[in-house]
Amino acid sequence: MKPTLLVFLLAIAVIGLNSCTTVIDAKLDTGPIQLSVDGLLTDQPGSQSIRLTQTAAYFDNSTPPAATSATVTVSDNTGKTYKFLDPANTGNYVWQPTGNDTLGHIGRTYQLTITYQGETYKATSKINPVPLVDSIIFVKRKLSPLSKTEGYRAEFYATDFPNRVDYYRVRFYQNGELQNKPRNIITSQDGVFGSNSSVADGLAFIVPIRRSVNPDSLYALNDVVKVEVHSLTADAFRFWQQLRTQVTNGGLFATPSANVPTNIINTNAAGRPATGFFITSAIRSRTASVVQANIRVRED
Amino acid sequence: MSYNRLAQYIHLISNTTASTPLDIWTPSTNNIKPQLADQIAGGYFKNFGHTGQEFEASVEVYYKWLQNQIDYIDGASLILNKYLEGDLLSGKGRAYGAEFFIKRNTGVVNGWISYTLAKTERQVNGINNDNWYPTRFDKRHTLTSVLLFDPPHAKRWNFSATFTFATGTPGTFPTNRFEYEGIVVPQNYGNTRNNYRIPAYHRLDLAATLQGRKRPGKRKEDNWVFSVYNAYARKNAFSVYFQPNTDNPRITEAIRYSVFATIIPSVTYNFKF
Repeated sequence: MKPTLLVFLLAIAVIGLNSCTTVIDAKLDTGPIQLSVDGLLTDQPGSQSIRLTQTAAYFDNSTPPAATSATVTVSDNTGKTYKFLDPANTGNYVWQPTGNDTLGHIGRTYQLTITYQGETYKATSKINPVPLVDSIIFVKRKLSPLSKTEGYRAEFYATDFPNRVDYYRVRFYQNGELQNKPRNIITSQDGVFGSNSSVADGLAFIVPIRRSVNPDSLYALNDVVKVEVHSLTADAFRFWQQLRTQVTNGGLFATPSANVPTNIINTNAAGRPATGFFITSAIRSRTASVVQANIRVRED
Repeated sequence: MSYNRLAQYIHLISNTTASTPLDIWTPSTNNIKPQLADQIAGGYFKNFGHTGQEFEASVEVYYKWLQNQIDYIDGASLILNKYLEGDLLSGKGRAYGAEFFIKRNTGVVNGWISYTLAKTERQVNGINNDNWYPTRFDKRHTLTSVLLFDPPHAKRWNFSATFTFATGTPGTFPTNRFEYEGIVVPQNYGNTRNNYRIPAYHRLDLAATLQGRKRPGKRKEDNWVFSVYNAYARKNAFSVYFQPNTDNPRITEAIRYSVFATIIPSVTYNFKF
C-alpha cells in the first residue's frame, strides 16, 4: 500500500471517529428541588463561609438559585459555637471573626447544623493535619512533543506524614485565579494515587501529583503560581474522587451517572435529603513566580 | 407449551453506557451464586394460504423468573478492580413478552416480519431503592422485517430490503444538578436506576443481487451484490452520556455517541469454483 493511501485512509478513520459525537436534546425528568451545601471550613485566619443553593434541572444552565433564610451554625468539640449569617440573602453564609479569633484548628471535630424550610440537616467533619509545601520550581517545556509552543511547567514538593493514612486535595491558582475546571480536581492519598498507599507512606509526593498543578497552556514567564495542599477526611476524599469521575465522564467507555456521596444528613430520616458536602481542611500553601531564581533545567 | 430451567455459572457485569468489549464476565464464586432461570412458554403455529404452505405464522408468549442476578452498586468501578465482588449486589429478575412472526414463502414478493413485545426487569436490594427497574437490555418493541423481491421479467436480478426497529435501551441519567466550588455536579434524585431511554434504533438496509450469466459448460457460478447499509443515514445512538461543555463547564450537555452513523454503500463480488 502506498504511504499516501495509508495516510488518506487514516485521515478518513480519524474524521469518522470524531464525527461520532453529537450534542442532542435529551428530555430528562427533573426531580424535586433539594438543598445543596457547598461548605469548606479551613484553619486559615479570617472569615469562613458556607454556600447554600438549591438543586436545579440538569439542563438549567443559569446560576443555581440561592437557599436563603436558613439558620447555619457550626460547633466544635471544645464546646464553641459559631454563627454563620447571610444578611444580604445571597445564600452565602459567613462567619466573621471577632478580633484574632480563628475558627478552624487542626485536630478538632466540627459539626454543621442547618435549619432550612422546616428541616434540620447535620454534618460532621474533622480537620486533619497537612504538610507544608516545601517549594515550587519551573522547567521550560513544549506543550506536547509535537508542539512548537513552549511554556513553564510547575512542580511542587511536599512530604506525606509517616505512620498514618492521609488524604489530600491540591488546588492551584494562576495569577490569583483558581483553576477549577473538572480536570483540575487533584486528590491524593499519602502523596500517591492508589488506595494501597502503604508503600508511599511518609515519602515525598510522587511526580504526577507534583506536576499536576499546571494549566493546559503551562505558565508564562512572570506568572504568579500559588499551590495549596488541603487535608481531607476519608469521606471528603471519596467525595472529591467520585465528583471528578462524574464530571469527567464520557466517550466510548462512559459509565452511567451515579450520585456523589454526601455527608449532609437530614435529622428526619423521612424528610427530603440534601446534597453537597461539608469539608474541613487544614491548608498550607506556597506562592512562587516564574522567574530565573525558580527556573531549573531538567531532562525529564 | 414448555418449561425449562437453566443454570449459568458465568455473569456479565457491565457499567458502561454501551455494550463495549470492556464488559466484564465473572464466574460464580463463594459470594456470587450461579444464575438460575425458570421459563414457561406457550406458542401457536399455523401454515395457511395457497397450497396450505404459502404463509407461516406463529405466536409465542413467555414468562421467565430469574434468580441470583447480579448488578453493580452506584458509582462502582469495575475495570481492574481487585475487589470486584465488593461492588456487586445480587437480586432477582423477571422477563416476559410475546413474539409474533409471519412469513411468506412463495411469490414475487416474499419475506418475513417478526415483532417482539417484551419487558425485562430486575429487583436488587440496595439498587433503585429496592424497587423493580428495567435492565440494561430492556427493549419494549423489536421489529425486524425482511422483504425479498424477485422480479419475474428480470431473471438475473433480485432485491431485498431489511428494516430493524428497537426501542432504546435504558440508562441511568441525572435529573438535577448542583454546584460545588463552581463545578456543576449531576444529581439523580432518589438514586433511581435506568431512568432514561436512549433514542430508538432503526435502520434500513437495501441490497440488489445480479446473478452471473449461466452458460452451458460453465462451472463457475458468480454474482454481484450492491448493497446500502443504513440507507437513510440515521445516527443511531450507541450510547448517550452527559458532561459539562469543555469550554464553559457551566453548560451541561447530552452527547450522543454513534458508530456507523452514516450511509455505507458496498459492492461485493462472489464466485464459486
